[in-house]
Amino acid sequence: MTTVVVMMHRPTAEALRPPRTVHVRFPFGRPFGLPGHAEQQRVVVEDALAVLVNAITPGQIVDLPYRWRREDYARILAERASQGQKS
Amino acid sequence: MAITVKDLTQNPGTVPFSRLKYLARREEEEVVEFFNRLFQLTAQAKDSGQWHEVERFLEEWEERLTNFRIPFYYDSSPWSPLGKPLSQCRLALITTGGLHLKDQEPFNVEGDWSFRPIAKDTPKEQFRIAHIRYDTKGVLEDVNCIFPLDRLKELAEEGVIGHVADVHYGFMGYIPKPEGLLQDTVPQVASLLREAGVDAVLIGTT
Repeated sequence: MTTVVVMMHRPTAEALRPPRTVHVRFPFGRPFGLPGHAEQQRVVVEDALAVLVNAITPGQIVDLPYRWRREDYARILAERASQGQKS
Repeated sequence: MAITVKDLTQNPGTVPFSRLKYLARREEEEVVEFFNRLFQLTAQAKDSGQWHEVERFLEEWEERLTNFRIPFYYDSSPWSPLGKPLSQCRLALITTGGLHLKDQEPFNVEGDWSFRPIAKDTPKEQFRIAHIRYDTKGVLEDVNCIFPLDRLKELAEEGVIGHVADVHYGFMGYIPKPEGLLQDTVPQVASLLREAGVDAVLIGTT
C-alpha cells in the first residue's frame, strides 16, 4: 500500500518517518487548508499526490512553502494549468 | 490579586492559537519574556505601520513552542512504490480528525484507536466530528479541509487519478496508548483497503 501523509508538525514526522510525508506549516487541524477554500485544498492535494508518485527516498519529508492565507492559490493552480502540469 | 501564567495565556484554542496555545505550558519566566517582547514589538509596529516584525516574532514563538518530541521513534521507513501511473490508481483517504457518520458510534475523545468506514457517496449532512484536541469549528461546513473527498472526486473526473475508492476511513488521532492501533485497527484497515483494490492512500493528520 503506497501512502503519503500530510503533517503540520515536523518533529513528529522526523520521529515517525512515514514512507512519504508532506509537511505544510498550516495550523494544527487544517492539513488541507481552510473550510470552503477549494483552491487551497486542491493545491495541497496535488502536491501530496506528486510526492506519492515521485518520492524515491523512504522517510522523505517534503516541505511545502505555503503561507496559510497569504498565498494566491488560484494563481498557483492557474500557473500549473498553463504549464500543463496536473499533479 | 496575583496574576498567574494561566491568566495571561488564556486563549480560545482556535486555529490562530493552534501553536501559540502551548505558551500555557511554559514557565513563568518564558511567558513574561513573550509578553514583554510582544508589547514592545506591537507598540513599535503601531508607530511604524510595519507589522512584519510582530508576525515574525509570533512565527518564531510558534516554532519554539511546538518543538516538542513525541515518545516514539522509528529509524526506518517501509516502502511500497506506486507501480502504476496515478491515472490508473484507486485512491483512498484516511483522516485522524475524528470524522464519523451520524449513525456510527462517536469516537471516545479521551483515547480511541478504532476506525469508521466512510462511503464515498455519503451525504454531507451525515458527517460528524468527535475530537477535542483541535479546533473543529467550521470543519463540518467543509470537511475537505481534513478529508478532501470532493477534491479527489474532481481529480478522478479529470483523469488525474483513476478512481476514488468506495470506502475511506476515519480515525480519531488522540491515542495515548497506540498498541491497539498497531496490532489491531491499522492491520484491519490495511487489509480492507487491499481487498478493495486500493493502490494508494492519502492520509491527513490533524
